[in-house]
Amino acid sequence: MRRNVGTEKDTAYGGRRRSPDALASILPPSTAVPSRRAPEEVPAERVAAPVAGEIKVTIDGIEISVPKGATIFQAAERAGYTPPHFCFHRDLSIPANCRMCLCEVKDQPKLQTSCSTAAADGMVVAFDTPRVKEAVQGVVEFVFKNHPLDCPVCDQVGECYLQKYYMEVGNYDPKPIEKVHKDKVKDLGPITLDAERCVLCSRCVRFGEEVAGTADFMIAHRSDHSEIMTFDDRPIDSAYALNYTDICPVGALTSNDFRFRKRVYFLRSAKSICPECSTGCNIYSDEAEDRVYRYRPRYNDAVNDSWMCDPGRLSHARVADLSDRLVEPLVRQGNRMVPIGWDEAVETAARSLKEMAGRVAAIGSSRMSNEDLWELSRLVRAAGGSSVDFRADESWKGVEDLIDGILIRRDPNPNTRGAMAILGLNGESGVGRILDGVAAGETGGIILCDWDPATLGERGARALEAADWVLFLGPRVPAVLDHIDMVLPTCVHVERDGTFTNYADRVQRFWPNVSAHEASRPAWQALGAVTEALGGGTAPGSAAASFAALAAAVPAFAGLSYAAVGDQGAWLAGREKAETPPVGFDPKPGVRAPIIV
Amino acid sequence: MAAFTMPDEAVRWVEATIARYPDRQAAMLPVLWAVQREKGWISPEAMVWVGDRLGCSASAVQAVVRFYTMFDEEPVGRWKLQVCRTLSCELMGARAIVDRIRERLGIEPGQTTSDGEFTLQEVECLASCGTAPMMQCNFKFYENLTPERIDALLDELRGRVPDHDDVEPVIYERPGADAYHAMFPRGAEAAPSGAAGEAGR
Amino acid sequence: MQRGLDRPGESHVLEAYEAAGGYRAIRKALGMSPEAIVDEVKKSGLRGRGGAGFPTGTKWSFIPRDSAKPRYLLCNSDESEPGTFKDRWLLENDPHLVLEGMMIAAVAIDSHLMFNYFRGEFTYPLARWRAAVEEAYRKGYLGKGIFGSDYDLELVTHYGAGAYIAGEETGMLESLEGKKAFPRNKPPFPAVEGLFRSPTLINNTETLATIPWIVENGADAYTQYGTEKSRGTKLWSCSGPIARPGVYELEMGYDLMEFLEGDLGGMMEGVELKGIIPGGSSVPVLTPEECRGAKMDYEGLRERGSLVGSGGFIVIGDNMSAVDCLLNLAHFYAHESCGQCTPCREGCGWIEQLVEKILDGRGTQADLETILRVSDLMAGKTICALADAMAWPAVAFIKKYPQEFAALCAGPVDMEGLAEAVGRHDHILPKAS
Repeated sequence: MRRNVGTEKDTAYGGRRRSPDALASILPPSTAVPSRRAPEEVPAERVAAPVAGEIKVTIDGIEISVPKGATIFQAAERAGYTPPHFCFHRDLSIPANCRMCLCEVKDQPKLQTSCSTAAADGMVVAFDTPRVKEAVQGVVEFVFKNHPLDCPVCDQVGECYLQKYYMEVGNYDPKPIEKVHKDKVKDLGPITLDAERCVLCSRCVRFGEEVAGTADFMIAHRSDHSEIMTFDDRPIDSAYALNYTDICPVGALTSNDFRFRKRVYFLRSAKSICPECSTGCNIYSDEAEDRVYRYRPRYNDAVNDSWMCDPGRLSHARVADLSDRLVEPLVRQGNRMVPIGWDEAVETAARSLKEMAGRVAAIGSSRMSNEDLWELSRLVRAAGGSSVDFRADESWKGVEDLIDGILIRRDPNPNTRGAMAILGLNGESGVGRILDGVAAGETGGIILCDWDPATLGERGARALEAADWVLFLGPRVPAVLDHIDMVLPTCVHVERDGTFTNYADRVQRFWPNVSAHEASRPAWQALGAVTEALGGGTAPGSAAASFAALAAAVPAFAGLSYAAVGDQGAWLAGREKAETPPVGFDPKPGVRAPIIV
Repeated sequence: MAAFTMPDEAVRWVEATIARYPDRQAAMLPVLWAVQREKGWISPEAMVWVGDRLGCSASAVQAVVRFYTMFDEEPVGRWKLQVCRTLSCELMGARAIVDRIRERLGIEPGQTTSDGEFTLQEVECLASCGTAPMMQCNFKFYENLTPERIDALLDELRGRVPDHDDVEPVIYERPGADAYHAMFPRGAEAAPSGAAGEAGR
Repeated sequence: MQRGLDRPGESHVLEAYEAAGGYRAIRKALGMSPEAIVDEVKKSGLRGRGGAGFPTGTKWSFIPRDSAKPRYLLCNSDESEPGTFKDRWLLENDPHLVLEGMMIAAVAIDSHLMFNYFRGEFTYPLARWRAAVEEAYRKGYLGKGIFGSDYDLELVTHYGAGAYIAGEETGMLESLEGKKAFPRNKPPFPAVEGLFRSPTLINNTETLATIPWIVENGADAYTQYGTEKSRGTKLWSCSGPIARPGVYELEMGYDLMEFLEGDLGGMMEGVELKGIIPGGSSVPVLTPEECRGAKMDYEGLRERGSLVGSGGFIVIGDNMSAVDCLLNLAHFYAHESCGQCTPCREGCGWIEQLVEKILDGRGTQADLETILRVSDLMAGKTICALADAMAWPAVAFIKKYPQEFAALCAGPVDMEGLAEAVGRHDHILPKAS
């Protein structure tokens, strides 16, 4: 069973990375929030250009250089320490209300909140002092004052900031205190609200106002009766509701899709890309027992910041649904499709293509990865054909259209821009011409990738009926098998390596999270094997090798490699200066921390 | 549920008020006051209406309504008796005032009489500490109260129709030492008033 | 200096105000350069009368003059500090004095739109104020070209709806913008980024009411009153079981006991003095011993471990226990904490719970020590000073009346141990500077 290589130890809720963290062992990698990386790991293009000289700040004795305008919090992160925090979130405004990230600044009498205090040149800051520790311990004690001790039945366990901080500061002297009553288990549609667990960090309130634009949550009442709730306790109607469950540092907001399905410490994460639209949100795919349980957004300030849409997130269910997956290669024997081994399938496919004597065309798909499409184009060339297109419907035209002003784009495919570049397409779709050519007998063999024949309409039906030989590649059983001569089962994205190119020409990598289903293989592997059998050159030994060949051959991909793409992506040639504004409905510039890492 | 409406005159007032501020949402408190004055309380439908006028979400409106203590989210009595309970008033006998109202009306703070006449609330300092104890009744202050004055006042209010524009305070003569001490059941002992601690909390 | 004190009955009417010399200072100010007005206020040594005591002229000088944004003047009439009622008195009896002070401040910072934020409960002062404003508009004292000059000045009267924290200056900005009155992080300070993100000067009602006298008579005349460091006069709101409560204007440096026993007529018959909270409920209480010889000014009260604050002079008699007093105040702060910062949100309610437990006879020494520790964890660790305003009375009452707290506890209290605990935490109290 292949395993993800992209896991990352959590530093999301703070911790002193330079000293061994006793809690590291209890923290699951699935709780990782990305991009808390040491400076040297950051792709060069994502570090903001130094603003008229950097400033020097000393954090707990470590002198560090940060751009002007950076906060103490950001400087501390650069120095390898993430201050504890509830309210601070890199993609939201800074209220500085939780009072967890306090620090001592030399020559200032009061403790300062590091999240909201700008670093200044020569500033000397200390987190590792008895005074700061006492204050932070105090805040945790205050939070616990009205927090239920219901961890055994709380779904946040394992990725709870409060749990982590409590363990760290060690308030092991619980006092019997009368708690303020707040509501439990309010069903708000996509999520469940347990107000009594809330630490009033206001992240949800800010997300609703600043990013989703739906202003779903408010903090009602005052003092220790403060409580998050929705207007008139109405359910949430938002395509971004599940982000609330990510940003909630405790178990107050949990996903109805995920809660009680799996303890998070049993999950293993892989970095991935959401395949549900051309935006290409960076995500984590979380699996246990070789099954995907959830997707979570993964930070990328060039694409999705820290967010993703609910339809994209919930598409993990489709990936986990194996009921209509192809399990092995099939070949036609009269009226029946019969199983066949891969080796024999590859030989048969190569032989059949050869028989077409160059009368070969292919209809690819923008659900395929860059590597898949590259190997498809190689195969068609090896077979002597020339026609490849993927635009069997109109969706590609909406590749850039943002339909909600936030993240969702009209084109529901993840790799339209990559397909255009790799297949060298422009202008109108050539699929109609390809199909008409098959119907007219000009083309004998057709390779159909991930398009259910039923979706190709009348024109498609006529073509398939007229075709001499039809090869179908895809992960799932097509609705209509009538004219298909061979079926090769392929992997879905979470089962393999690969890259997609998003709407803005950003090439982004995904990693496998679960094993390939039964005998299915990555499409690039299947196609490469047939190409080799045809004598069209060696099959790539890995997705990386295929990508390297692609980069060498297609100018738009020049200079790219898996190393260069990394986990935050890289622009296609010519798009290096693309600018991506903050995602959201009403981002408030000026009140957020500047992007420095 | 019926759509929320306000009389034309009130709508004109609301629009004119909004226009006086550099930002629409700034008119939040005056507009909510206008609604409460018109309807007696602020319903969820009213909050949606206000949010639409001010260009903000209904949740932002409800958050404000629930933050400020003078807004009511449900109907209150014709007479809203808000007795100040903060230190200067308590020093001058506020508990005796609340106790008398509780006894007379048979309601606890936060409740409304079943006939809808009176709502009793304990509120924080109303800045009339020099004439304590005192209370606000709808929009009018009554100062230098004694339990006896409460008796007379409650009787008088039953027969009257509230007038929002009648805001001039009623300042009774300051109670003398005897009347003052009578408000403290244990007299002038230096003992902590544990018994009185049960009152009104 | 408060003209209304001498003119009961009609003092709120424009005609009476002018007859007493009103609206001369604004005319003078319109002939002065803004810098000269600010300098005069700076020289007067006037300090903010709302509670914090920040030098007024310095605050004015923080308003940037070259900003492309509009500048706003905001009068803070959200008087809510328990024991304080001098602003209400001013607004009812001397609205034109406040208005004139606002006008001068507006001219000094080149502001053309002023706001006066009333607390929602102030219906009567609001009515008086509105009538005064209407008079001023009719006379051309407000609006286009005030007093025949080319200076345009508009006024918006705003009113709250019940929130102590709206009196905190940045809480007021949020409130006036139509939101919950959550105090803002500083910086940016309101002088740079205040109302609607524009430079805003916020002054207390009494502070502004002091301005006309200073401008008319000059800073030098003002500094004749008061002490070296506490200039001029101050209004004191006096309440509690005393013979003659009310608003008093005193020269800074007045002797506290002389004031209590003389002007205020002493305690009510049958009541002995237990303590005095001299500057509104947020400042530490003074015992009778501490009151003796105390001077009523910024340094004098600080020297005794308390503050001038808002000048809410609350006299506590021996018929109320210190525990009751603290519970009353803890309830107030637990009710009024905006709930934004964790220590204040949870700490105020916690202290209230513990004091209530002690009053119920269920408390222990550990509870008393928890109150002290919680106070320490709150003070100075939040966005605004409300946490300190809870912590100070809590520590001060326990420190100064330990016997009363101990007497109510279940089980014996080790008084020495309690004193030690007080000693660990009383560093949060104001100290003589």
